[in-house]
Amino acid sequence: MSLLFDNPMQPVLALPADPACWQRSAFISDPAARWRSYLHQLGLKALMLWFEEEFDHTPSPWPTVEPFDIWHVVDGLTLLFGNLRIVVILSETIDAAELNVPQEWVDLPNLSADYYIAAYVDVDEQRLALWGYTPYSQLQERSTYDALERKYCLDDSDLIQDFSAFLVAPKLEQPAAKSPSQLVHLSTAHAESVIQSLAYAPEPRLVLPFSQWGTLFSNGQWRQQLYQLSQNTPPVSIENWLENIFEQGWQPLESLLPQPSTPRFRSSASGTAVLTCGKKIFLNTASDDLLLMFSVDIEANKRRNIRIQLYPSGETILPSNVMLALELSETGELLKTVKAGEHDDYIQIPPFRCSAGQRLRVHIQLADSICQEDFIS
Amino acid sequence: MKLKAVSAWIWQQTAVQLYDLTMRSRTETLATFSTFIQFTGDRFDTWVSAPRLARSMQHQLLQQGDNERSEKFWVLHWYRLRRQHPDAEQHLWAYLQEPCYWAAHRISRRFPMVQYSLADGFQTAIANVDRILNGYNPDYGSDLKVYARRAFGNCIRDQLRQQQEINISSDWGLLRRVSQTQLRKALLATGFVQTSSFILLWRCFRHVCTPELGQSARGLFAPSSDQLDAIAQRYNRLRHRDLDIPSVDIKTEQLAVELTQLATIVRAYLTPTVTSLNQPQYDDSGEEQLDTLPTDDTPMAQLLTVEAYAEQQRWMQQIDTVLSNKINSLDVPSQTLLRLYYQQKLTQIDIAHHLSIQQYQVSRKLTRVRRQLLLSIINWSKETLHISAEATVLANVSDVIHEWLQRHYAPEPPEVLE
Repeated sequence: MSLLFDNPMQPVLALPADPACWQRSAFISDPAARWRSYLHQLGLKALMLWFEEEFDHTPSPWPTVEPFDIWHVVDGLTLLFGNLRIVVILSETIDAAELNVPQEWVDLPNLSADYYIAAYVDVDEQRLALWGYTPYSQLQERSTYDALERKYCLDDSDLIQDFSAFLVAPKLEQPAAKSPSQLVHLSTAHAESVIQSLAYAPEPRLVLPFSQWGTLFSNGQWRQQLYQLSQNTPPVSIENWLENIFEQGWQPLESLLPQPSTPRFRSSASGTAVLTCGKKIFLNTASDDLLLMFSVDIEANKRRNIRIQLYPSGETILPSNVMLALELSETGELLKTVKAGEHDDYIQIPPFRCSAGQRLRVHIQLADSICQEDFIS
Repeated sequence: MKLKAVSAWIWQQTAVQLYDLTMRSRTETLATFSTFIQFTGDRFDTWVSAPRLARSMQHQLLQQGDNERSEKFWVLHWYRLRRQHPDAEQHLWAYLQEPCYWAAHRISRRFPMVQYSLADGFQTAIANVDRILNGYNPDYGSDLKVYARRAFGNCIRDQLRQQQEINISSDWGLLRRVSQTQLRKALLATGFVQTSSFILLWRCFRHVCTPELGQSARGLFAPSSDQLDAIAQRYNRLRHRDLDIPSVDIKTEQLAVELTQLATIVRAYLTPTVTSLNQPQYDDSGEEQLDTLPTDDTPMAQLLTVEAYAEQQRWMQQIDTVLSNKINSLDVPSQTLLRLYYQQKLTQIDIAHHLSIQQYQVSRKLTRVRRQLLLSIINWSKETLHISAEATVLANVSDVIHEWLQRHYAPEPPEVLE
């Protein structure tokens, strides 16, 4: 008695496939994480539209615009509607008999929500059906806890399945009280070593005790680090590029751009470089992707002359204050840093020479959103 | 294809009318709370009396003396005694035969192209009595008969949707989209006592085998050899952490065999064999305990019911005034929409045709109208009754509005008149 034919009280939203979006997530090597990120991007678009049409008010994504750092490990689509936090759980399960909410959305004070929505995704029919919802209090009282997968399960009969009553209540209701949670404190050093060990583990959210994982996951910066680290394997190798082997997400300039090369790249990125490669970079805090470009000249004795540049992807100027830095991988010693101003259409680390085999790290940051790329010259 | 569907539909229509001629609604209070439907083949045959329930009901009726009580009164009475009186649940079970029948009847008519007989629908739905009673809340004047008919209908529709989904999925598509609960049930039903290693295997499969864009999720292909390797690798990494039983590393070849086995098990479990049409619902074997019926607590219980019943009626009358006023103040398109849905009982597709709008807009407009009605009730109850507007209470009130709309636009359930 959950999801029905022809039930007008369960909204059905259009969920058009988006090949461009699927392509954009090609850099995610883990198939489940890629699929989850894809579905959540589609779902977010559909839900934003629905809220706007239904309640004449646009929700905002929360905690960031497209939280890939969350989607790569946990199910849950998050929206902020007025002052209400809403978590939508997407599921493709045919029997749709229960709502499974990962513990992160319930027991972490800064991530728990006021409402949880059960949504059924049908990619073949390109639709998303909202079939039930529950306020936080009901989830707390009625759900059972699945310790193996760390999720709260609520039976369909305990969900409200009539969306005509949805969001009628909050106008009159007190916000749900958050339960005190038992999280332990983690020192930065400890957290960073834990992140190292989690980055390559299958199902990282289940490795540590929840009291530790919860602390880690609540922290936006650590979440970003974990995400970046798990995406960046192994370090990018310029030697490989010379042999036309490109790591996940990296592409030679020709295939990165639809036209042979647009004027704005020709002016700055071409010149005498024998090899130009780029990768799309996602920062939660940026409204659009960024393009990280490497131009490499091979000189005598295999010495490299490298220029590193950062471009906007779709827009004409970079977000102001986005930072591009070069560090030594082993020590983290900062070699050079540049920051975008108000109207920069690109920024760059000035060309530098180094021998082959040098381990270097490019660090890109906007507010608390960070992306790092390790490479071997 | 289209022609076939149409002729199937006509056949169904004719067939349904035949049943209508033979289905007799119960009119006696005694029978209403003590008899069960018997089918012959796919048609209603007769009402079968359960002697013990008949005696229990007789006993209750005698206690009432000359006071003739309505059907609704008895429903509330048994509902309130559900946890105390040994027969209360069975009386309600008997009572719910009719709404269940009409729910199945309506759906077999509304979705005639689906392979689903009236008796199948009835069997599927009647198994949910417990759930329906748990979900029912009489506090806001909801009528059990109306509530149950909708809830039974929902059970059948959900079953239909799932069945259709299962029929058009490949074994692998099915395996990926089955729930863990059902997978476990399927394994247990097949005779596996130890399910955890299978479930871990299944989780690894689901992790690795996601559809490619442009490929159908239902028609998911069998795992490639690379994918099998990845599943095996994942399984071998996770088994130490997730399995509480001794386990060994799995080899890719063995994994392929086990996954295929899993897919077959799930398919077999979810594809139903023809359900038997006899009556398993009522077990009258406790007959000899008849004389131990608790008798002394009933007068008090009945008195309490009288009070609760009066309360319910008052609330219903008030709601009736509030909603009638609100409906009259709605704009014409909203009123038309309500009539098409509640009076003429058109499907959303038909309404969309009728009003030249998209199907999803029908749902949105209906939801909006119902939200307006809900708000009118809330404002009224806030001012006069000081009822708190918690989300769960609102859902109950919204149910009541739905029932009210059904009654308002079709005062008697039309099926009974047919």
